[in-house]
Amino acid sequence: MNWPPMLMHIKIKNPNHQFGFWLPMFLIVLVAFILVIALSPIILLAILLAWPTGWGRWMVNAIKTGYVMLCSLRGMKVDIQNHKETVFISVI
Amino acid sequence: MADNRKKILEMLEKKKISADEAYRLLSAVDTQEGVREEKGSSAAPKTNHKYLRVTITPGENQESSEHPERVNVRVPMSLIRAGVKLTALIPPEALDKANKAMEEKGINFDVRTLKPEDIESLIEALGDTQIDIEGKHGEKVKVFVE
Repeated sequence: MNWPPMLMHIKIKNPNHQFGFWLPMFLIVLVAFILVIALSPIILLAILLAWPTGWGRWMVNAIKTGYVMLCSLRGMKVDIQNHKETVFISVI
Repeated sequence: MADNRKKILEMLEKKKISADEAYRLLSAVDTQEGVREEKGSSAAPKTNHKYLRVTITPGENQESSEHPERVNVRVPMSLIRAGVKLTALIPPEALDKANKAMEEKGINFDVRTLKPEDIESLIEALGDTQIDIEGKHGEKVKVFVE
């Protein structure tokens, strides 16, 4: 089973700005889960109301795919640099 | 399958068939087993490849130049698989527009035909593929799976 990412490292450097930070994904995911649980009655109601139109199924699939995509981000690394600029994103 | 072999050998023992016929029958049984094994392995979709890598390294002439570019991108295969599933969420009107835009660019491909089963064979094929491009300034572009 894939687990959601724990940390995201973002580093951006250009002649005017330079910053880098570690994003605690585990906290963001935790807060998101709590929000989803708190809002679950509304989400469920929305899904049930939208089910006859076909958008209910779409919403269920969107939530599922969104979670799968979040878990799949683990291991992604983007490192682009030239003489002046650097963009570095790493998901752990 | 072992029963079939035994029957063939029994028939040979009782001299109902010749050695040549027995050999041909046993070969046919082997072939059938091979086909079944292949089908069984295609049912197990996962490959060992974990990441799609794209790297661009500047050429020797570019290293000293003012704007040498380095790119190192690593995309998890699971993200590609999940991305394909995303196509199911795109409204048909948007897919029509995407298909039309691709057709205008000369790419005759229907996004709706892309299925998660297809991506497995695509990833498998990518495992044996390595794309190496060398630019006119000596920069090297590599696309491979690891």
